[in-house]
Amino acid sequence: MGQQTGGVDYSRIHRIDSPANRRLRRDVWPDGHDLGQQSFATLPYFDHLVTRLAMGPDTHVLDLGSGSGGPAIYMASKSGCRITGLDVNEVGVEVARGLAADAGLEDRVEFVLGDGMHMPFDDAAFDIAISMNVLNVFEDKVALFREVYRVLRPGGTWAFLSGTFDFLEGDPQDEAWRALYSRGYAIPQFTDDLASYKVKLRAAGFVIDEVTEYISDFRDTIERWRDGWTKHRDAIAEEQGERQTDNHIEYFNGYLAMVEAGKASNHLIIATRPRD
Amino acid sequence: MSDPQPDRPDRTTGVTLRRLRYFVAVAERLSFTGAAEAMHVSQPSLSAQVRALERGLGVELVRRTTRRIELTEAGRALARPAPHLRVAAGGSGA
Repeated sequence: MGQQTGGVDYSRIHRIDSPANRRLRRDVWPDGHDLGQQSFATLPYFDHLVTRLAMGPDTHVLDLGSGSGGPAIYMASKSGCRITGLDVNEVGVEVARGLAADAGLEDRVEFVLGDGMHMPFDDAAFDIAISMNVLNVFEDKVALFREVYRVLRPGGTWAFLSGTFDFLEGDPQDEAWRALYSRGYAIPQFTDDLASYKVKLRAAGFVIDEVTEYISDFRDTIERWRDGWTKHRDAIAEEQGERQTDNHIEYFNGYLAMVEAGKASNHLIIATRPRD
Repeated sequence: MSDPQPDRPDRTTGVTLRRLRYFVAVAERLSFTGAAEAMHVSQPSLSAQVRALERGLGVELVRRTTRRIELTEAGRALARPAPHLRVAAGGSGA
């Protein structure tokens, strides 16, 4: 989602049905917990969102950066909500539409190709907006939050899960980590700490309701992705290229080190667009 | 895999022969991963279809914990007669 720049071929990653991706995903997710998600979010996160945000047949949800669509379909299936996924990657949208057909949910779930900075939706179109481990690809968070504000109805809820980073200016180790993370796996990544997210949300007009840190299973999930990519490195490299594959492994190793050093965490932030 | 006949969902329930076959594959192995491999589909796709079946029938058939997969009472009841449907559908099922 966001600026699809750099050398990463997300199309290959979104082909969740490819031989290498199947082997990888089988090792990453517990049996029955693979929704097709590319994030660090496990199934209980999505169960929690359905309940906490009171998704139901009368709510229309936006999933910003819906990737290959599995989580959106899962939440629609659980709650009966209408959900619209937006992603910049064509393959992600195509795979997501196929999954929606598998789930028999074409009438409740829609996937749209588009950029989060300029969403092809009317003002106040949604009751709820969510985004799961996507926001780091957006450079201008205030502008993004204003765009989310625009498409949410007054009183609507904006909930996002994001990596958060506490890098100290001038600290050599922190600067090295920032550089590694910014390089990402070839998509530029833009980090915020929790305080910065709060300031930017308020600047865009949101009221912050709740902040929850999810760190223990976040660490485990990064480790499982790292171990999976390492174990299936050659098979993945055949599909995605050696450079992208090795960058990914380096990225996961660095991310894990940052979490263990207390420099990186993962927060679910829930905010509201105030009523007019 | 190809279906021997069009997989037309029942408009009122969303129940299809394919979804029943996928459910049976899960019930026989108590594993989504194993069932997906046997049925040559991705696990997210197979899971979505089983959830569609659950939604169509209005009952939970399979319970997923982080440790294991187990059938609910409704799941066990459906799994018993369902293998015969594979014969009727002409598919190899599992």
